[in-house]
Amino acid sequence: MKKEELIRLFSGRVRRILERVDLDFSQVHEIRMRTGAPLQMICRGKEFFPDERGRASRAEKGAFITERDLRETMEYIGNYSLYAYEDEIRQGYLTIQGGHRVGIAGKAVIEDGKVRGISPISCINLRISHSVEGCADPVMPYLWEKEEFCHTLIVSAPRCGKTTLLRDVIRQISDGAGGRRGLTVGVVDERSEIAGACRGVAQNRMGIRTDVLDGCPKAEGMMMLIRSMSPEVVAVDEIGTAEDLRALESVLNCGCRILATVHGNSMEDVRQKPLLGDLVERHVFQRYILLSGKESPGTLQAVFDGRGTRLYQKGVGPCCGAARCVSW
Amino acid sequence: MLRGCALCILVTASAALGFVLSQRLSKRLGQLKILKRMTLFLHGEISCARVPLPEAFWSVGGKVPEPFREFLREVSEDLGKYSGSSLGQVFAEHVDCHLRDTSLTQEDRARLKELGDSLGYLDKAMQLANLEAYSRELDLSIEELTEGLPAKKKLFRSLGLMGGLFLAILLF
Repeated sequence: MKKEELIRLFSGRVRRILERVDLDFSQVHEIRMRTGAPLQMICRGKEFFPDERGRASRAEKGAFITERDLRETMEYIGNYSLYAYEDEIRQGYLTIQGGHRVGIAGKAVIEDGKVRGISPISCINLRISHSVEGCADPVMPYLWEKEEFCHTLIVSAPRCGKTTLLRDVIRQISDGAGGRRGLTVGVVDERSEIAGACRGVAQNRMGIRTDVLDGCPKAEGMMMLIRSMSPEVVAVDEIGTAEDLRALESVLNCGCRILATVHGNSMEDVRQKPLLGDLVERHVFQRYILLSGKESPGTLQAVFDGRGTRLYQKGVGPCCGAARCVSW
Repeated sequence: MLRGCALCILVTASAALGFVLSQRLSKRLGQLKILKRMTLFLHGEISCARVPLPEAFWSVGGKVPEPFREFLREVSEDLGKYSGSSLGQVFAEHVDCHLRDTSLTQEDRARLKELGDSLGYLDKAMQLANLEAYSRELDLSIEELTEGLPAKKKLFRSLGLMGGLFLAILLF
């Protein structure tokens, strides 16, 4: 989505500020609006507060957001029809055209102990989706064994680029990069983060053989895809619940390959997770990709095979299989 | 001779006026029925597909005749411009612009504007409730109009003719 298309989603006043803002928009990751607080932009990991003239400074003053700004912005984001996004709002976010994520907060409306909606909305966080095509290039050679795609688990802490990497791996295996044939990939995109689908249509490039089941719970979605789309690879983001893992096992039994991500800072974290740790012990996954965000989001830390043999180590490169390499 | 012709024209014009007014009643009934259909389609778009309003207006626009088609499509297009006007304002502007020359009464148009003002607010149940309320109002208008239509049409036609004759006698 171009800058113009993105900023037209904001209220007239905020739109004028964003049009003039002296920041490189391609580097902006987040735009935050809070009633009574200054407009905030996160650019290259740093926060900026633009004033009415669009001058962005690090000082915590600038253009203050009014209730009207927020209401108008929500009208545009919700296409004058917030009812159409009820389920998403209940979860605290909605995905807009371009795959951008709008997080919302405010007064939760509770009914029978469950969140029914958020009204009024007093905070908006627009996370701008940046798909990085080619970011999976360094890991792709490790994900194949005897010309077969390996069951792969991407491990990283939040905001370290695991979804971005997952998206590019999906695209590459679907399109058939590196002289390999393309595989049919079924993606269960429960939170519309991978494909950034808007009304069911993927906004990010997902590859020509990719079927996306958008907004569907992972466990149910994996089974649906297997029954309906015969995928060769099933991809999901952020597995964790017992249901997810049971569905993963069913996928395995159907002969499909798995590509998944999970939250974790290290392999130790993953092994200690009660149910996932069991899959690791049983060598279900054949590859583990460990990411870190210490230097920059998406830094490839290490690649392991199913038995814990280090295949790649940051700063060392491909490992040789010697004793020192055989470790988590 | 000239006077006779003038009187003939007067009677004919007056009768024609009565006829036009009676036809207008039939047209209003037809247009209220179109509005009713439009409301039902919108209800379906929202309840079944949970489509956002601009999309719903566009798609329903394809199912109703002119000038309602143009009205809905232009509302849809204008909403996509994010001009700073609320949905109610955009809707009202287009009611005035596209439906002014229809047989709908000012009251009918005011009611339609009220519908535009209430749409988009809160959740799906609210949208459906608004559409249902509007639909009930339309039902009442249609019922009233249908019941009195033959008598009113006859009245307009007779009044037109009689009025013409009366004027002719008066002038003669």
